[in-house]
Amino acid sequence: MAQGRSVVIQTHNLTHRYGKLTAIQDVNLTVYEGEIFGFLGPNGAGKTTTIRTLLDFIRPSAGSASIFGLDSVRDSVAIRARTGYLPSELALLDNWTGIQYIRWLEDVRGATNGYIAEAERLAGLLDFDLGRSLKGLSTGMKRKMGLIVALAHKPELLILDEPSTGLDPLMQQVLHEVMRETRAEGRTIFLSSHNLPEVEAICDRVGIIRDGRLEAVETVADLTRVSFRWLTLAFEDEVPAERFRALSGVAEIESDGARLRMRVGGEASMDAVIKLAAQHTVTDMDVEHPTLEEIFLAYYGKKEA
Amino acid sequence: MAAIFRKAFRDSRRSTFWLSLGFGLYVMFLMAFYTSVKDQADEWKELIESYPEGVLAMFYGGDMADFDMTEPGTWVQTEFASYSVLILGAIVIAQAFNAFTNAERDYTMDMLLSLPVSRRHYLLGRVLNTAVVMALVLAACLAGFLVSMLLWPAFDPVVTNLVLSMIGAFLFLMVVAGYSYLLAVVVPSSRRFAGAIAYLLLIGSFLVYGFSAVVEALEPVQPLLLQHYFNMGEVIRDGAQFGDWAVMAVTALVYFALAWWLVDRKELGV
Repeated sequence: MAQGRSVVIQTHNLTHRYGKLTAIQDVNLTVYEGEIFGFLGPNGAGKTTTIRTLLDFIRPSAGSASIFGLDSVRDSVAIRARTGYLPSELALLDNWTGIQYIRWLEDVRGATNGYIAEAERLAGLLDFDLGRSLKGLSTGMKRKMGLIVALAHKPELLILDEPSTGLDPLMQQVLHEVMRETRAEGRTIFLSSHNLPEVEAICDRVGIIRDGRLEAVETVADLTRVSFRWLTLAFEDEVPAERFRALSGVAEIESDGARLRMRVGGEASMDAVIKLAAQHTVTDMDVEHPTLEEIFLAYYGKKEA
Repeated sequence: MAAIFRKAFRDSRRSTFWLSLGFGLYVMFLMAFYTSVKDQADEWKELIESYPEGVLAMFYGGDMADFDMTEPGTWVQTEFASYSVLILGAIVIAQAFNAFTNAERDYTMDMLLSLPVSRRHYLLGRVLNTAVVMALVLAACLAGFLVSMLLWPAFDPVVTNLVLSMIGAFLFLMVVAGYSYLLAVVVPSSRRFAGAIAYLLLIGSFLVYGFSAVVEALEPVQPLLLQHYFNMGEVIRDGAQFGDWAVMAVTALVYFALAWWLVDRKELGV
């Protein structure tokens, strides 16, 4: 237990090998009830393999996993009854309409009360017409349907593999709202993503996986602390870079006449940079999130320090 | 399991309808010739005698001493059953590999496995669908035969034997389904030759059994071949062959039981 919450997902040295290729190695993970846990890593890092092992699509080569205290292999059917899942590669049964599909799922899941009503509510939120055929849906529409399928039975655990892929920014906001609502109801979300801003926006804790190994588990606050932004400022006139270099948390300044690009990290430094910049005439500004590799380097730099 | 069956059947209901209709009409088309064959028995006998014995044996499958094209069972066996069970067998094989290999490749397996359905129930639901589809197609064939009897009274087999011949065909197809599902479960999906093995077994068994009627050295292998246990013409002529049915039923059950046991250990290619 952590902060009085029970453990929902627990893995012990979870390992999966595809032949000679080790996809995940000794993954030890704990996810607590009522949190949104972000599983962050670049493509091919082992996120989807971890999820598929948790859900017993594939079996661990070594180690074990439990969900709700149940063994992920032996009790997989019971686990899946309490879990909702949105795969990264979504294939719907496309000769059905949305509502036919939902009715079939209601049947498979044993006709839980209010299943159809919840599906319709989610469809309304996501602006998806359940009466339409699932054939020929765009990627974004497919993901909306996938989200409805994953959420409609109000699962205790929601596993989302790259959920916002293909969704427009407005729908991403709706998705985040749905996730926050789910968390507010005490349910748990395990979210895999290679999108750092998304993870920062909605997750409580983050596991960072790279090359099949879980490198770190951090709170989002800690991650943000080691995280940074690339800030580009364009001024009307040339501004000496030294003035910005003197600020705490500012590094790697590149100067190109009236344009400065710098790395800004730490909680207070952005505020100081903006205030200093405001003393000049700013004509343009651009903020970029670091890449995952840059985050890893920043994280290890902090650990070594 | 019931929900998986309902989904699989819903997915295949259109193709099943057209397949059944097609087979039923094809049966009637073939039976339409039967009256003229019977009326011109002597000319047919002369024509048949000019055929190589190996070709006749391949499609007749029985004792060549009994070969009589004007007998309903022989007509049905040579002109319809000999290759139709191969066509239906090929459809059965495709269904078995659709259930696993194709579902893994197109990611529908991911979606299905995320539901509270065990792998074994998934397998059983798919096998049940194959059995029901084949039963419906064979029922349509039977209907085709019965309508033909009304339209062309010269075609006059014993109705009970016609029904029994469909039961035999069903058991034959269930053996094919049994080894196909077993292969789909046992051979890793990344190895794409499992389907080819299943087709090879089906066609190879047909060819080797046919050759064994004219090549003495192949006779000992006959009991190992599926065609040895089912000949629609013989059932129409002589009635039920319970011993052969028992062999087919037990073989199919053993294959299904092995597939059921092993599917839980399968490394799915998702």
